[in-house]
Amino acid sequence: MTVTAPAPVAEPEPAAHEAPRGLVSWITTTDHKRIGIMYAVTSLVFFAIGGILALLMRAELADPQADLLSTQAYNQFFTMHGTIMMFLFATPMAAALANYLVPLHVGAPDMAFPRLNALSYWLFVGGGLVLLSSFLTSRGAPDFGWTGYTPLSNAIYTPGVGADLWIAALALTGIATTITGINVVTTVFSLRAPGMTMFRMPLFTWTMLVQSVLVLLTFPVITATFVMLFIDRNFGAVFFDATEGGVPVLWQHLFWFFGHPEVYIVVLPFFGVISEIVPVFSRKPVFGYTAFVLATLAIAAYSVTTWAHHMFTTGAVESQFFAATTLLIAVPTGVKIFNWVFTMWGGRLWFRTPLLYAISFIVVFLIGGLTGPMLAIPDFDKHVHDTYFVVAHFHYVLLGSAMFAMFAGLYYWWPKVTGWMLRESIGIWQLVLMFVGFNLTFFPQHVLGLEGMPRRYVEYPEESGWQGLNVLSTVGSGILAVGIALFVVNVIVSARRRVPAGDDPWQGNTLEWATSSPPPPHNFDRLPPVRSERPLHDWRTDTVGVDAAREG
Amino acid sequence: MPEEEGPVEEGRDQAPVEDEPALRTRRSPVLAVVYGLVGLVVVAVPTIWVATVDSNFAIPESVTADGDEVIVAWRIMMTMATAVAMVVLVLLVIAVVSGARRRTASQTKGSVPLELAYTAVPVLLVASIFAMSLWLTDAMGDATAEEDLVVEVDGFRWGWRFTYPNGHEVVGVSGETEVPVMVLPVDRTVSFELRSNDVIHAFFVPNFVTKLDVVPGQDNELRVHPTRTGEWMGHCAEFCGLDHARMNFRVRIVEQDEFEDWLAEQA
Repeated sequence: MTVTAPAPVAEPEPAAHEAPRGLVSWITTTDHKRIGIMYAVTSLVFFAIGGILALLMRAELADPQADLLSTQAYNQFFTMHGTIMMFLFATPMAAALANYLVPLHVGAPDMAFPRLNALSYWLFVGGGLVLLSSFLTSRGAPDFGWTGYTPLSNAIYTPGVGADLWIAALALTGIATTITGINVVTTVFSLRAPGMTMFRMPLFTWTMLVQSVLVLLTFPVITATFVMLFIDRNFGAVFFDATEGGVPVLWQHLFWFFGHPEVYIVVLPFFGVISEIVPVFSRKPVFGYTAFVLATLAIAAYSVTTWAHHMFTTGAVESQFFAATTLLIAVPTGVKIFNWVFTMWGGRLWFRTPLLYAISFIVVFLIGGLTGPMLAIPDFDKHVHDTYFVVAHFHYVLLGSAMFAMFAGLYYWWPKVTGWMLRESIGIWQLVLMFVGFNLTFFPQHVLGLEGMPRRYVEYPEESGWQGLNVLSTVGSGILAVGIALFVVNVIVSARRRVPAGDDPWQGNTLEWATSSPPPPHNFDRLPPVRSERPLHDWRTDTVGVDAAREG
Repeated sequence: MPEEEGPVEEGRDQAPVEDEPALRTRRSPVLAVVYGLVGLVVVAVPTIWVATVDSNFAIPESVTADGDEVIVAWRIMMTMATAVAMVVLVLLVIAVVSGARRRTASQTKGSVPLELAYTAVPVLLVASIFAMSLWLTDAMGDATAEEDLVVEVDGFRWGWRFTYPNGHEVVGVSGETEVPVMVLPVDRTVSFELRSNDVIHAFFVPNFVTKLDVVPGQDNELRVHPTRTGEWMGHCAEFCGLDHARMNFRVRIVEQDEFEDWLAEQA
């Protein structure tokens, strides 16, 4: 009797390595990598629009009494510049990085809720288009500043549908951001690879997790606040109307209760980007991983206690309490700067564009971070509040951090996303122009503010003597714009050459480098063992188990 | 200058003994001393200069008693900021310069004593800044404890009305009148009662080194004690709409008898 060997179990089909092609496949995608790319491209388009508005304003300010722009246009431009940069560039660019990287970093095949993720992107696009459409209405875009203070933003002082479109747009983008927050938190808690304990996650994952919790806590507040304004404007409510028993300053409390955590929502992901790049290019583990995590948690927790430092001049707040909480938040931020510096200390530094941009980030953020504690002191703040000193401060910490860290991240992860390298030479030219242009634009603004030049001024008195520094700032903005434009040149030039990157061009530490460039749709064919916060490093240097044995 | 582009090639540009634990090259103590001394000079010289030079660091000359106190605090903050900036930049430069030349990276993951130190030092620094803030608020208000003169300040879209105790009004409207001038006596405490019937404005004279918002439905009071005669610019400093940048005013501080004569003439 012959015994037939059992039919061999069929080998599972290797998962497809090719992503579907064509425009429809992009429009209908739920792949976190494609959604991340779309978020990034869209954010950069909005960055360009917001940037052009800024360049036009700087051109206007080069002369005290110029009329390149009408006053109405200027006021609309600074309002839309702030709104676009905060809600359509900085926050979504962080979402772009999170969407692309968080599943890869934790070793998951996608986000926890891929279809919600797609919804988030299209709500973002829709909200952005609704916001821009306000320019086309008869009274134009809103012109009350991105902070929308009442009573100026109510229906009496800002008639016209532009403001209502602004509210609708921010409700849509707010929902989009909230969805991303839900996705990140769920993915981090539920989809980590085996062996990846919380304290073995990449630091970028930590910053995104903490940022997402902040989003979930604060975006509902601002959405409710916008709804209150909408009801005041359109249905006769009087939340903020002093003539009917409402309280104008209530708006400021509600706005800034969101608004201050919002700036950490913007900045924390970019701290995470720097924390990924510096160890790789120093060939060392990050210095003080636990301290980083604790500092991130501390920043997020403290950030909800500081909001009224935006309101010291209202005469309506207990200032010393908020001075104390604001000063306290400088400590974990300072700890992070020391952690980055000491990560490089004793390292073997590899001076490629990601590291060079990261070092520039540290310098720029240091300067911005030093003016923060100054502004925390109420009786000093009362001199510089609503002047260019504040404009300088927040551009250093927000634009400086977001922009330099964003480009550091783009240069670092571009090979993974596309499979080819960006040119180093153009990248360095871009950095030099950006660094010189950025500092030339914003450092003089500290001086202008101290001298008393108020912000949101379309013109200023000739006798003030402020023109010289304004001209310097305008020239700087032009240089900065050229530097940023070089990135587009780099992409075009590098796309022609397509130097192949391979899986791991930088000898990275984290799991995204364990798969192909670009990754297949399902991300990983196999995962290396995760025994530390540097699984790729362990795999490459064959120290799996060694570190664990040492740690005991 | 950038080296070759493209991904890392095996065997090149790779730390050969990257993960050998505790393999230390012998560090030159001379180099450490040189770094330390240069660092010390780079930190100390600018800090001492900032602390001792006779400058307001861009804040205009103060013309009130409280303004003088703010400038003292500002100079202290500039000195501290200079010192901290120089320390961090020195550490950064040393890390970058020595890292450029090193062939073997240390694999240290941290140092609890160092991390505690660079947490504790910032805590002490911000605590001292907070103490200074409390001192500043306390020091201010001594000269303005009792008011000598009340001026009602109405901010509106887009101009100012200053009303004196005898009913005299000085009004300026953007695009219609000259810039309004508020005359004040030196060495007398003036209380500004700030009122608005439309949107939030802010009453800002840079040479007072302070400002206060003018909020509808809220009674805000700003007190100053001018110590110098002269004429200075004032601005609206809370965005209030179209002509926000055209609501400037002037403050003219004169000797007390000159002020009384002027006020009597306006009745």
